[in-house]
Amino acid sequence: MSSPLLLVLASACAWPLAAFACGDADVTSAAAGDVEVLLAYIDPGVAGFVIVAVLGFISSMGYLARSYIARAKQWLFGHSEVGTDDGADGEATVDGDADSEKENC
Amino acid sequence: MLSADGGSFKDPSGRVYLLEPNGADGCRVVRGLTAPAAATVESLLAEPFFSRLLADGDVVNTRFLSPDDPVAVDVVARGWASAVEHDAVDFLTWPYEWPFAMLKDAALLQLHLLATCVRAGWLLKDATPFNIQWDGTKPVFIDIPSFVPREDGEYWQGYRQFCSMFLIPLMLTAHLGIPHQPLLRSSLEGIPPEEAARYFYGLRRFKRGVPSHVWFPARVEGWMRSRGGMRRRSRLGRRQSKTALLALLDNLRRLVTGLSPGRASPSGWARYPETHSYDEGDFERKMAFVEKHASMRQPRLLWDLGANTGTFSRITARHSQIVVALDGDHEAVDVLYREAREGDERNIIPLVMDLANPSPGQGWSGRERAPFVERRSPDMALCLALIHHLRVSANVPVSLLVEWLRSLNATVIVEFIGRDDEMFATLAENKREDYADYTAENFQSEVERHFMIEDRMGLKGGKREMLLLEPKNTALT
Repeated sequence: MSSPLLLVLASACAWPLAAFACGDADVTSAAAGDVEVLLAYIDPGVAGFVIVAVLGFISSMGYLARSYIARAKQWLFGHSEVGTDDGADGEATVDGDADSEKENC
Repeated sequence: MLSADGGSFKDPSGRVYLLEPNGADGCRVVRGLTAPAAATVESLLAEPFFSRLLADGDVVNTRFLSPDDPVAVDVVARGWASAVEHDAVDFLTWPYEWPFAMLKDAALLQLHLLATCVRAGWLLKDATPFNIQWDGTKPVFIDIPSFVPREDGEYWQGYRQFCSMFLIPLMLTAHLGIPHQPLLRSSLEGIPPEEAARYFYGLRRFKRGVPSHVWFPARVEGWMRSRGGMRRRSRLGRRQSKTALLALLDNLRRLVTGLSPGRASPSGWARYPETHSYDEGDFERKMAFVEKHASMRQPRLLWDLGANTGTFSRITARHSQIVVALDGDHEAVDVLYREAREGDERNIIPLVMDLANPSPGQGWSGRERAPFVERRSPDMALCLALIHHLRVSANVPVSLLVEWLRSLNATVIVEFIGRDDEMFATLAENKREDYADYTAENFQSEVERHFMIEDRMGLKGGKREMLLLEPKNTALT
């Protein structure tokens, strides 16, 4: 996840998402000389959705891959120990959430 | 008598009140709730996932008070719809007093709770370590109204707060060897990504977790800010699948699990058990002296001032309800926490604290985060081989030191290091000050103004002395 390559991908994903979230009209109104005042009013967490969406999207690739690998191992070897390597939150491999929601990802 | 907790005002859905101790009973903690919040908490308490969290001790035990309960009546009279009672924690602590491993365990608990919630259709609406307290060495989540039902596709709004208050402080220590305590103490909202990005410059920005959770958010936030923010859209317009959210949480859990304070500067105090200057017989006599008096008094709360890696905290923990072990060396405290956690010594709370500069009152009105010395007074305090450090390194006069010990209103075991002890000589070696008030005679004279000396024992051929002190004019508990 932390490799520069993935970050390039993340950045590429972020700009269209951010532009979608911003819309055009409000952006231009902020750039008309009163930006200094406006900046103080902007919630620093305003970009939260974009960041969470991009990071969630990238994370889910590895997450789903692990889920499918675990299921394949389970199918091949017939036991479920492969699901335990995720520690306490081993949902990627054992609880089926990933499978049921993958189409929304 | 109910008193509103100074740190519980940000969430309009409720407020915490403290009920003063009544006799042998400790302080009671109750929370007034609005009608919608009460309905949410009622649903939460009925959820199987929450029952499991309660059974595991991950969240504080919580129950509704009967409307006829006098305490509930008092809470309702203050404008709340109903009241719940929480189990009281033994001793409040703040994240800027925790060593690395405690902050890491708190972060893992936060992620575990959130992942559990999300799978059950709930969410934690914030992600601050101030919502976590300690049952000894076990982290416990205390802010029950933070649990809210997750609207369909609702994204995790606490991500930025999690990064600012858990992840970035941990990464600063793990990757750069910068202790997180002073940073979190001076910035109660944590270290935001744009600020953290300044620490991770050059090749440092490629360290594990930094590109995705520092550099990228900082860039997006900066870009968004420069464009004047985001047009207001319905929260429902911003949707995130459960899988993507669980994947992000899993990614964070893996990242946090892999962090360790590898680059912290080595500390002599973390190796105290092997490097102290006693011979074996003296050290055993010192331990026996402490154990004898702790076992006779059975304190409810004991402070070990200058605990190092907790040799004496462990001894006294066998005879105390709770031991708060304090030391200014974060590495030594980290060792103590990890050893106590692995040894299942559940009644020790290790804290990083410079006793010459203990945690002050912080936040709104200086009351949001209570100062260390006003949280709960100890019944007993250990002050072993500490006075000379405070005198020489912090330049606190002996008279003030003894007055401060008296202000604790507790039984105190002191170990006084004489001027002829080699450790004092080493400490004072390059100082111009001669510390004229630091003599055994003057120390005893100051002590006798405030305390009765109940027991004493010489060590190292008379270079050191152990003293058991009872405060004058005070009924003992």
